[in-house]
Amino acid sequence: MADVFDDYRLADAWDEMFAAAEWAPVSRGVRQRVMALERFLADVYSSGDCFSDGVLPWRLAVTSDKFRREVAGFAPANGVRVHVAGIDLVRDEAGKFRVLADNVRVPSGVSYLPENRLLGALRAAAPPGVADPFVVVLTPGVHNAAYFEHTLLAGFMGVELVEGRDLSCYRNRVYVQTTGGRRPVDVIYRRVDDDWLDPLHFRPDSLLGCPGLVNAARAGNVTIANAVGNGVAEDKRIHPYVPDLIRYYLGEEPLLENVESFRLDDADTLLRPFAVNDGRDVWVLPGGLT
Amino acid sequence: MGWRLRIEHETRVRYGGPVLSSFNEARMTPLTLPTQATLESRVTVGPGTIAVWSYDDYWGTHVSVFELPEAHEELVIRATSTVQTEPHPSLPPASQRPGWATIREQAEGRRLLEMTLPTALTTVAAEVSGAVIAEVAGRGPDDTAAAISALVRDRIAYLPGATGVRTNAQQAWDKGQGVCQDMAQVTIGLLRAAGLPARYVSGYLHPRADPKPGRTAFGPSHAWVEYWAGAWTPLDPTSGADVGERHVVVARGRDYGDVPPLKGLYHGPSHSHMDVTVEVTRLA
Repeated sequence: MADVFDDYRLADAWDEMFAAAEWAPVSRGVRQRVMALERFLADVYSSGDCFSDGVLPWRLAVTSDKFRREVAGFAPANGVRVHVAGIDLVRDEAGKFRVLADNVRVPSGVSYLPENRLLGALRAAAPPGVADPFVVVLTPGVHNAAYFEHTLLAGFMGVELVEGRDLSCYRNRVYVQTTGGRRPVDVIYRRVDDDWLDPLHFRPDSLLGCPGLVNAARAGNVTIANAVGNGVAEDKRIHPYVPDLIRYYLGEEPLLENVESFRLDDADTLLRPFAVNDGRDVWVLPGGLT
Repeated sequence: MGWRLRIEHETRVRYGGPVLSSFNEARMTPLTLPTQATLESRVTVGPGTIAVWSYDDYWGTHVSVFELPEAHEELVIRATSTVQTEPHPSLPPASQRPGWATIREQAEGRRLLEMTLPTALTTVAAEVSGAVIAEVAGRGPDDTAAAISALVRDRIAYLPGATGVRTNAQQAWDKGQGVCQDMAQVTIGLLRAAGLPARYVSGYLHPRADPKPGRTAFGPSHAWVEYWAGAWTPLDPTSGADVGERHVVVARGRDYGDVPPLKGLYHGPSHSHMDVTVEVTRLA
């Protein structure tokens, strides 16, 4: 199974897209972007210097429904919040790669990844003092469209695939019921969105997560990967500021440009809906930005 | 020359059958502020001895976390604290307070912005806020806040049981009845609509203005508001009384949803009954 997958991944899709000479600059650009997004998330959930320094408006963070006040004030074990990111690139009309979106929550397609690299990142994120971390993949379950990918991923990495109902929290530690008995969990690679992850803090009607996960992470006894609250960095209104965030945090010029996007809070940006009159009614349609 | 208050806040939940596991957060520990000092505070949970872990949340509230992994049919939370409260300084003359333009500018800042944005629990319809703002127009910020508070007290009759914890400001306004939570949230919605940053305060109130030391009174959990006019300024729309030694601040947030005294979930029968008693004693 794995061989078929690897062959498809490498031989067909990837090589068609990239000439070898193009890969190196793209790779550097993606790396730079993710490093800046890590710094941004650490900042958003602590002192918020980027807002005080006027890099982007505080209003954008606090009005984002992906901004999670529940995780402000504590940092994950090795400081990493974006254990795996999927950066969406498109070619523009001149053939240049541009960034369409940064997926830093639950990027789909991770089973294409060399699994040892992801497992290495997850193990490195374990709470301090854990010599041989126990890693699980948390899936919403068989009814999720990506369940097949979750089983592949857990299988490739050689870790347990679990659902929320297999997990339990006790005294700020997370346990999993396995065929071999109950054992503590150190790292959860979750494929469940924040909203559904911990009914004590987020949607109280969720049965896909486990109550107590957020407080166990706060206590530093488990690492949730990717971190809770990363969605604020994906917010479409924050996307246009990523080049500025790269300059601000890294002191570098962005290697990859965004697709052209406009800030609606910019006075020079005008939203232009179109009105079409067919004689019976006037239809208002979304239009362009000028 | 403040007061020393002893607060015993007991919450007893009885379930309609065995509950298998339960996860909870309590926000019942008074803050230490320029106007009050928490000298002693303890949250204990039963039956038996349940471990309580704590952290400070985004709003600076002291949160007590506990879980009951064993089957139980009753949950008892006792929050006990001793707090020294001080009289609040009286409002400086209007000439020393910022005007509307300054407040509007300050409201964009990091500390205030979240207290200017509408929330589901505090928003009233634009027609309602528009009419209220028209009625109180022409006043300075402090007088506007006082007028809005008086208007809310006039509009909403204090009637326990008329509303629930999920009742929003518009529903309470329409009903014309509610408790301190409703009056606070309506006031906040109107203050924000009028351009004043405003926040929800959860805490305790001694029911008497001049209690004899040593005598215990029953005072429910209380809620009031603070608005920003160069400094956070308290306002108690429910009692209409000045906020002072009688008030003990536990938590502050955008609305009730940020500061619930008890929140949790459990596996078990849907039927439960909660009894809350708050005993407040002026010690000295």
